[in-house]
Amino acid sequence: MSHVDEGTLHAYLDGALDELPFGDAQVIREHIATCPECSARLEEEQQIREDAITILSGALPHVELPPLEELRLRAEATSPPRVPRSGRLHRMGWAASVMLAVGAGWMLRGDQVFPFSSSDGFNVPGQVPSLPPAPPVRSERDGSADEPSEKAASPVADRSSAASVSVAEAVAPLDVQAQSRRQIGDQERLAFAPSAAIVTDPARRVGFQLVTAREPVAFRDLLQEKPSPPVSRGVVELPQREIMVGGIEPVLPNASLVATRSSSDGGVAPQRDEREAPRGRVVSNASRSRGSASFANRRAPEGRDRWQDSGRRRGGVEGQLVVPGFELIFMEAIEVGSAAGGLRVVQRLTPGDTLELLHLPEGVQPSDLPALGDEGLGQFSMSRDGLWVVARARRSGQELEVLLERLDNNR
Amino acid sequence: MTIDWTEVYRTTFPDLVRFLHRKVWDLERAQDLAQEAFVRALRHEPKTPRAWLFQVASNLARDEARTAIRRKRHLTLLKSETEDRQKSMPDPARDLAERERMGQVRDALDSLSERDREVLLLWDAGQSYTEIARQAGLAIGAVGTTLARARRRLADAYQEKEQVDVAR
Repeated sequence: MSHVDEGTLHAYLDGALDELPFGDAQVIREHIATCPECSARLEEEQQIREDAITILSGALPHVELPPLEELRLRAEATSPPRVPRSGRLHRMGWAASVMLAVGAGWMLRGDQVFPFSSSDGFNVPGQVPSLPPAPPVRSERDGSADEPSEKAASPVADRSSAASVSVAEAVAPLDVQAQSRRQIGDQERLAFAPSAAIVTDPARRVGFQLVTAREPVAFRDLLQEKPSPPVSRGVVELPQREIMVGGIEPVLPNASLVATRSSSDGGVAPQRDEREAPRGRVVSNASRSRGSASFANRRAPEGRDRWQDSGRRRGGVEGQLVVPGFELIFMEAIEVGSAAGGLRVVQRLTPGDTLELLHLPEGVQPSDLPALGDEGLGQFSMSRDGLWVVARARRSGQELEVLLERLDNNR
Repeated sequence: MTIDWTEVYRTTFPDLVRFLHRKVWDLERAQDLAQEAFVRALRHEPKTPRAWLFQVASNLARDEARTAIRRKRHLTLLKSETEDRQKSMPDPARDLAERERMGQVRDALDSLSERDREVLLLWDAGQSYTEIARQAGLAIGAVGTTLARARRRLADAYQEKEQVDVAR
């Protein structure tokens, strides 16, 4: 046979000949043993190999083994809730850590509006230990951070604040969640997805679910896979006084609250305007003002899931719900009046500056939303297939328009 | 098949730390990353834990380099310097020599291409050719050639550095 190349000589020296796919290891060994030229080269390569080993051993640190039990505890503490391996969630890329909070039956009275908290990210303080906090937003007026807004002092906000007490109490035992953060660069992020939790407060008829996953697409699939629960007057009946931690599945059926109600469930169908709006066209520009009343809508097929439907049309819901290129802080299902099926998305534009996207329920228009206070917020609304998306941030209407175009084009 | 994690831990953790140490050059950080890799392994329970751990460790080290966490490193360096001062009391000459040798090794490794360095460090951590090939994205037949080149370059670079230091 021909002489042995240096790579094979090193494999020979490393005892790895049998791992190589080519040639017969025994033939190579015999050749090296009998060929003077290869034997000489082998000695040379052996010297190089030993030199390398000596050099590398000059940088051997003393390693201490922490108790394995400590690592086990950490692993158990940080384990995300188990879902069946057949679930689509397992096939998702687990890239970023994201949390979805699904609020259900927040308000019972049909004439009240979900208390959008456009400037502070989360409106349930009790969740903070388990959720990535929205950054404080500075007022352009006086430069002060996180001033309580007018909404926060409103009766509606008071109720949400009161409800949050019970949520806080319920979630408090999950101490591990507070430890689940880690510093990545300049940002603190969740190091793992905390357990799912469902908290109900029968006194106020408030239901709240926390479902965790690590990217928006996972939520879409979770929501799509679950059948719609019976819905009565826009309120999902949640188990009372139930606190459940560690299991996603029993929680998820309630998460399909975001589905459009079917005509058979006894719900009140929202009023719809039959006029057609060109898809993707910006119909309303309501920068720094109330939502525009110029509204066009198109009826969606009765009983179909809004997100499913949108996803089929555009080949991916996540591109529609989130402006590409910005970190997703969280999403939550919302109701406006009696209309369920909305989604609120909060993304980080820059450190300390968030973008709020309100995907309004079918039949709801931007003018149905509470008016913006004098918080320096800009607002821009866009109709897509008759479904409105409202963007709010401390940006001009023109900048928000660009952001919504990116949302629409998914780029 | 049930994995004996105690055994995997005992045999793999030191190798993992050494592998990571030569990537991040910060022992405390290397220990942290190795622990993080093990925590993930305990959660995921991979079928081939050792190969899985090295893959995760390599990714963690790469992320570490990308995100460039300097704050903790800075603190670690300060701590190390303090420790070094304390250690140096009994035998400063020996510690100085160790630090110099560590620096020479680091310089020599830094002179290698990323792939050559990765393959060499994986081999030095006890990974098989098959595992190295899988992790480095090489054909298994190319592992020996890559190792031969990496070893020669390492030896040459180290020797050059030594000669320069002696000349001073």
